[in-house]
Amino acid sequence: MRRRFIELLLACAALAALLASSHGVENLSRKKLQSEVLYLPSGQFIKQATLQYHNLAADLLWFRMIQYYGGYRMGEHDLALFSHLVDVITDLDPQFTFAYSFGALIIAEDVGNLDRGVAFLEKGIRNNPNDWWLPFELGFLQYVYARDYARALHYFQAASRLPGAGPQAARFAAFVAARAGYVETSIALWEELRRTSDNRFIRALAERYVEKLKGGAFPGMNKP
Amino acid sequence: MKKIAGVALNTFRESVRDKILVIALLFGLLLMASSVFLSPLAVGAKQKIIMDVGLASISIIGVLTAVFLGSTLVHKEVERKAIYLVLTRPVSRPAYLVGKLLGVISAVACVFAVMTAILLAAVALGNGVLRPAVFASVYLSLLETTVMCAIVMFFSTFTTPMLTSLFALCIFAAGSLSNDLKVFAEKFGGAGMKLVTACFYYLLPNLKVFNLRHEAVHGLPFSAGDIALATGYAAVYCAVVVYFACLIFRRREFA
Repeated sequence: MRRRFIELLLACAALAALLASSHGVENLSRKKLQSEVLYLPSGQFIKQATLQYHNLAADLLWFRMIQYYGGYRMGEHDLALFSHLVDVITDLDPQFTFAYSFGALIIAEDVGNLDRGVAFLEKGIRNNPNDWWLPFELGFLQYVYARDYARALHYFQAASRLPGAGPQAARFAAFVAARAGYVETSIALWEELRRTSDNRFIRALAERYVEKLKGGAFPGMNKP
Repeated sequence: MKKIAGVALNTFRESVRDKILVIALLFGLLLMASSVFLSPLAVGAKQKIIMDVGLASISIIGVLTAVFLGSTLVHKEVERKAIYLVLTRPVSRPAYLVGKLLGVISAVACVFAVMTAILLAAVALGNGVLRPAVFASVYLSLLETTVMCAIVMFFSTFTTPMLTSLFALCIFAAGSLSNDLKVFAEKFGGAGMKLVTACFYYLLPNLKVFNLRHEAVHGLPFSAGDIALATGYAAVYCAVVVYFACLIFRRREFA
């Protein structure tokens, strides 16, 4: 009986030691994650290295990207390597349309690099010419960030002509053609996106940006 | 034919009782389950990830099962001296080998059936779309595994299980990269290099033709003609490999 009790005690102590050591290396593994992203090879290289399982590699990197973005939201880093991750993911799986749309929004808004965000969407459109969401989002970025109304109108109209296009594409084109006050239209576009997107993460992003715009906290975007 | 069926049935029974098959199946199911449990963290790519992981698991587990199950089959029979019992009966060596191959393929097909059923259930539970390309992709993965079974069988006729597994896995990697190898040699190699690469390119199995996973996940169009061509290629490749395996096995002496 006593021996069993000692064995149980030792097993508990061993388990506690294991948990403590795992907790101890948590920060180290987080640092490793950063360096893994930093030294992540190109998509073409990973495509060869993963034999025929590049879609699976893209999914694993997608999880890594979400983790990396989570780290940014917790104030751990400044998303400097986010674009590289999205680039590699979309090289591995060029038809992963959500990676383009989600990545472009984050790059334009959180990284503050509109050109890079636009470049990702253009890459997505090249690889998925029949997907209406990508030109739609590109029109959105052109309106909200670049304030290039002519281009925004062009992309919204292009999106509305594609098969399976949601009614919001034509509606956004009409919004932009009417060209009301800049902030008001931007809020209207984001709110429309929040209402109509079938993706809860895009809806959450839209909600955040509407609040920012309403609060006047959008850097350089309050002047119509 | 009856003799081949007898050996195949016996091999099938032996294979489904093998721990390797059970472990591979459990590992595959674990992989698929992980994709379902992790999908809420996938931020909008849930269906794609379930499908990607499911189809890749079916292919990977299929190939690994074929390699590890097939590599020990002949060796085990020789070690247990059970092969004498079979070969002293009116069962020819080629019939024995073909029976063994069919038995392993049937066992692997069962693993495929279980994993596919679970994938379909996972996709249906997640309100995903089941496209015909998903079934075509699983079928092509089964053909790929059949080719790998034949290759494993070929090596198992003259070498140890360890080396058989090693050679088969190397051929799997090379067969997956054979297109790139050819392109690389055409771009950078000299005449000799091009010739050697061309030989390897045509000798190694071109496993890329059995990959329809990307099309299945994204709902891209695929051609029934391509599937028929891949089926014909797998049949010819297996027949040739089994023929060479029979040639070697016929000359082998069991002391």
